[in-house]
Amino acid sequence: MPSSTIGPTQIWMLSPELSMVLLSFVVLGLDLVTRHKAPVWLTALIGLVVPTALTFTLVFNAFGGHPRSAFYGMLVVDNFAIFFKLLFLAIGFGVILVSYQYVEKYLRATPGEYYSIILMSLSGMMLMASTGELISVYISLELTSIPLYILAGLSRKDGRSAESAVKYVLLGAMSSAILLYGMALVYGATGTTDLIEIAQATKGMLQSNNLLLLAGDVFIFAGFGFKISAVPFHMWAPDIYEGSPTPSTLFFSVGSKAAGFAALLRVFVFGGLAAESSTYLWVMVAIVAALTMTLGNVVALLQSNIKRMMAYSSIGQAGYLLVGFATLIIHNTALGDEAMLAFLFVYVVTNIGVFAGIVALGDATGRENIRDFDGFGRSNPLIAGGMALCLLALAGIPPMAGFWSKLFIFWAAWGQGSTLTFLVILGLINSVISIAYYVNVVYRMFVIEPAKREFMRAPRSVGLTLAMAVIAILAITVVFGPLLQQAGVGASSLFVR
Amino acid sequence: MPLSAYLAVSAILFAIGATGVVIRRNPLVMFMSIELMLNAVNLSFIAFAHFLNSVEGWMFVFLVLTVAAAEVVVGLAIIVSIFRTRHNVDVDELNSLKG
Amino acid sequence: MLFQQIAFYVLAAVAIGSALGVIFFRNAVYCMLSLILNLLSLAFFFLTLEALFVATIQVLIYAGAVMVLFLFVVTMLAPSSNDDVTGRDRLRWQWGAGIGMGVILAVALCYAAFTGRLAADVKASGAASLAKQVASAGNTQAFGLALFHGYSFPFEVTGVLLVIAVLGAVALGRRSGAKE
Repeated sequence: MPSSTIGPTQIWMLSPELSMVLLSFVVLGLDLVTRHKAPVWLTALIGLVVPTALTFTLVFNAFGGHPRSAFYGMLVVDNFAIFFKLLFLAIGFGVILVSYQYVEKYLRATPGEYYSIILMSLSGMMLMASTGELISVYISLELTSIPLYILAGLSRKDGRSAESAVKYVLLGAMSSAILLYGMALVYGATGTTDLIEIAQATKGMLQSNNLLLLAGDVFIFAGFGFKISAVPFHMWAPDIYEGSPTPSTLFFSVGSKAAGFAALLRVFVFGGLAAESSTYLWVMVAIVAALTMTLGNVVALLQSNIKRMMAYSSIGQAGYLLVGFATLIIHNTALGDEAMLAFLFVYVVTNIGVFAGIVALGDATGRENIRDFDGFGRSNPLIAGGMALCLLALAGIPPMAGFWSKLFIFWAAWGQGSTLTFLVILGLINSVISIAYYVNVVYRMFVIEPAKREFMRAPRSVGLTLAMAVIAILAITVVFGPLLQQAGVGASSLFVR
Repeated sequence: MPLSAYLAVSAILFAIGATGVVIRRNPLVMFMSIELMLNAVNLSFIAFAHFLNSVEGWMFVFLVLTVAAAEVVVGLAIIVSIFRTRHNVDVDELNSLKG
Repeated sequence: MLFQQIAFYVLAAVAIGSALGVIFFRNAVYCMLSLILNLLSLAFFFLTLEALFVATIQVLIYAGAVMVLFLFVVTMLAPSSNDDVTGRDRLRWQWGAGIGMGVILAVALCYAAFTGRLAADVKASGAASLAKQVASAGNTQAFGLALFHGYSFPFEVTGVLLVIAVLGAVALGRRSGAKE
């Protein structure tokens, strides 16, 4: 039901993104008015309430629960899109909150520039979750990525930051070229760029092995593989994570990954490319998933820099998510999808907490090696305790949120037949391996004696971010059901076309 | 000429571009190779648009052009900024981050 | 028909030759000029495929404006941006692996191109139905209609994208030590 008119309803559907872009212009303009960092920061933070409120109006009047599309099917607002929009808003809130002291101290951009670049990237991410058409997917992907390249290069300690920015821009541009080639082949094989039309056109086509479509599938998956740092495409992710300013690294690790998975699910599930379960496709995804989680977790053990360790950890986590994706491709039900959404939510919250701890340490000591955490638990027990909780949740120690989300993803893969048994077993082995490096950091913070014992002050905004992350983790741990239910609602809306 | 001929040229150009990204170490030349890949894709789009008689391929190419321009601006700004701090931009020499 | 075939083969040869030039020339300025030749040959391809407006902007914007910016940066940085002689030796196995990968990719994609099947018909989605305009109205007119009706949404988004590019160039171009 592509509607061609542009009226109040259509503008309302686009309003979260529109208000986000407007907010970014306002924040940018504030640079002209004031030289202080606080008003800009507060405007960006409080301004986020507007897109959030507008997204909630879409939740409560989500057109009777039915998906709705506008602009010739290019903008789709359904529960899946709304779930991700709220997730991205939470990410934006966390990243902006944690950056308060960091901007002036370490970045060469003015606060206004920095926050407005983040906000524009967020608007791209929100669009990525709710596009219904390949051209818009590509444009919103670029709207997300180009600000990220800039963010990578903004550090004042020029050498490493500029280097990671060069690597990021080359890798990102190449991945979007690969993605585009895949889109071109899919367009050629189906004759349309509209995802709903593609879903109809591809029915039965993958099984008859139309090579154009198959190659298109592989290239699109590879293009997104770069964005989510899956294994053959993970090469420079650790370098990029290490060299970039820490709040930007946090933004890459949660924002870019969540947006990549949102678009991947949107194209493959909503666009029906995964619907006709093709053997080639799921075998490929399963192999990539196995390699991704094994390499990520094993190499993370060997790292001495905490940001590199978190980079490999996020590669490992992408591997678990791909297990869910493989499940989704084989069985074509909302179950794997639902588990992925819940997992992403937990991943985002725990990562924000861990990175807040890294920012605090970097702010106090200017270093970011794992051994610099020695005795952190004594020099600042509150921050260290919160960060330890987040690390353990990320590792998936049993009663914590991370345990439930991981369990659910493996259960989805296991429960639907035994095709993915080997992946589940490998995933369990990997979870055990991963505990070693997460717990190592906690061990260093609380057991090893520091060289010199003195209280380490942490910026208040960082403490606040960490506190909110901890509260969110505890809340999810206690009431995992409602989150899963929301994820399920979002996941199943992808199957309604 | 049949569609396959155009697609084959596009595929060869794309592969050449990808090879360039892998084998060259000068970021400027790597960036040019990426432009080559993008243009290979554009040729595919235009060929499909012609043989399917639809305008979507044209739209794609137009927007890819715009995005590529934006990407070039940001990419070149980053490369110039790295040149300022050191006078060698070999990607392999960028090894203060061990990769 | 014969003329078209000759034109195709000549253009294909120029396109592939100049593409090889981009990746094999040692001097970055020659690579750049090769790339411009490649873009121009693609513009002629677009002409043979009746995409007049796209061919025009390919020459004006891409081969013109964007590549001039590129060439400016390349010549500015040229003396220090050559691959040094020892570099090639050190990475010989990488050259082999890279070229091998490229050949495999090209062969696989060509195989897909010759055996894959094109869509049977164009689905008349809201925007695509404008395709019929090409027949009735002029070529460029159809382009404009499609861009400002069906594709006005991504078109507007590119506006934000260009703002970001300018903002990024300003922020990245700032001397980092200015405040210190």
